[in-house]
Amino acid sequence: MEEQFYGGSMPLLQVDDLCKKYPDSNGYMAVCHMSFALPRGRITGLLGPNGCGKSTLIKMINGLLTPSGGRILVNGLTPGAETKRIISYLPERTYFDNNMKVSSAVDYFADFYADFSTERAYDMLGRLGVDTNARFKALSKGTKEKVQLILVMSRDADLYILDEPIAGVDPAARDYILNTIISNYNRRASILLSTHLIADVENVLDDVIFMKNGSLMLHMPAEQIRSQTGKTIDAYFREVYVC
Amino acid sequence: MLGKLMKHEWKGMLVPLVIMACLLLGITVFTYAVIMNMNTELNKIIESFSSTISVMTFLIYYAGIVGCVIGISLIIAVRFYKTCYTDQGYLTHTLPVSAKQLLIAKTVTAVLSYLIIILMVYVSVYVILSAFFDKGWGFLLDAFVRLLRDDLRLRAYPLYIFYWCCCNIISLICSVIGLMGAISLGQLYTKHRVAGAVIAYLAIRFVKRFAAQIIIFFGWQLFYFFSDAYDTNTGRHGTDDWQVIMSSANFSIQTTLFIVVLISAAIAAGLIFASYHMMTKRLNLE
Repeated sequence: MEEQFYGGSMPLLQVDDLCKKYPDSNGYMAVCHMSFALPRGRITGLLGPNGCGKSTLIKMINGLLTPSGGRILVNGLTPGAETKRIISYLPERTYFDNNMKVSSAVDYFADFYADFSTERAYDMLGRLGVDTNARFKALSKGTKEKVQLILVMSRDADLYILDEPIAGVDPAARDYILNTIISNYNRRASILLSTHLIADVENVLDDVIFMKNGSLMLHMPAEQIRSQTGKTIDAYFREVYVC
Repeated sequence: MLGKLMKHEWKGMLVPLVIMACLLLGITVFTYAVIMNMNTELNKIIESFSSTISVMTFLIYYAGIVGCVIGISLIIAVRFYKTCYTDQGYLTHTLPVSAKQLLIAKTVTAVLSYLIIILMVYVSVYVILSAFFDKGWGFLLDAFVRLLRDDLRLRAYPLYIFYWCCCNIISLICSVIGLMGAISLGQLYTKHRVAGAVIAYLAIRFVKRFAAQIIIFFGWQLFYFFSDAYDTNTGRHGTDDWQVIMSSANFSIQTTLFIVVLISAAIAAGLIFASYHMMTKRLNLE
């Protein structure tokens, strides 16, 4: 099945037999022998209930956690400074110093990421009505998250990894976030989007990965799931993860 | 990328550094003003007025100086912790830079910040003592040179001063690395990471102090056993020659200092490796 995804060329992201066991976890594996590959030009939803290992997987891909076993290759490279150049990562937390100005955050991204477009960032910030001279402490939580998303999506990266970008925001903000993602990503790039709010994102997904208890349950094109099950991804998710 | 990292580190350190510098300037000006405007005539009305005010002013000044030195250490520690191991770490550790570059940028910036504050403290103390002795700006420097050259018989005193400066700068670098190493080691704890860092810092301090005390003890023995001042036949000081005694003392002090600095450097090397290991292999942001 994965052959049909990337048509024989090297996948953008390859995960082989990946495991993660945290210290003091009594042997529990947060990620358990996961293997999958992401081709270029696809939007993949990393779906699963809270605590199923989505964030752990994403942190390992970004080099924020060291795997206990297995291998990750991003464009053929193990996570490091080179892979961070081509990954644009939005964590589930706001990571700017509260005393920092929005304009300083833009400068920060422009300094470190060669693929960052300052014009695009200021354009999006302007449309959102954010005062670029404001400090982060003066912004609401939702606005901080949007600013962070704008900065991440202002990069011309190869792989966008978005960890719960729509969690905890109102439906209008969700639409804004999804529109920002869809209208700004580089079409040769891929997006790995983690969420448990499937109904909001399922229309934008090309592929779907279901995770449960740290393991990969399913990796399939979204359309194939719909045609095979006759259900929406959201309905199928509810069926799979029924409590 | 290293240059960019250092630029942003400086940006982050600038505001607290300026605040510390203003604080230091404030207490220096205050103390200087009190000393220069002391009205000794009031001693006739209030007993020991001058000495009471002097002691109080010096206590405030001393607290300010100690506060500045502790303050800059805390600023360095808090900034390192926040940017590397809290939510801000998500940004820091996803920059396209290596852990080695991160550590170099943070260490260099922290050491320079520390050095700026220490130099300002030296200047401040010099200004206050000059005002206290009221014999002109050059008096203390002349007295210090006379102490080294004439009393301690150190003919190559500029070299000696250079050696002390080098040792102090190395010690300062080791202290900064120790601070960062302790914070990194604190990350080994799944919970209570700040408490873990404090425990690690105290443990490092204890090991360094313990090693230094042992070295100082044996260094003092050097003075007796390996110097010209010791008479092996009588087992006592073999000379009353002040120059011989001073050169022996100097030899033992410098050897001791050198070994203490060497041990500090060895511990710092271990700690920088620990920080590197934590950032590359054991990073576990919450």
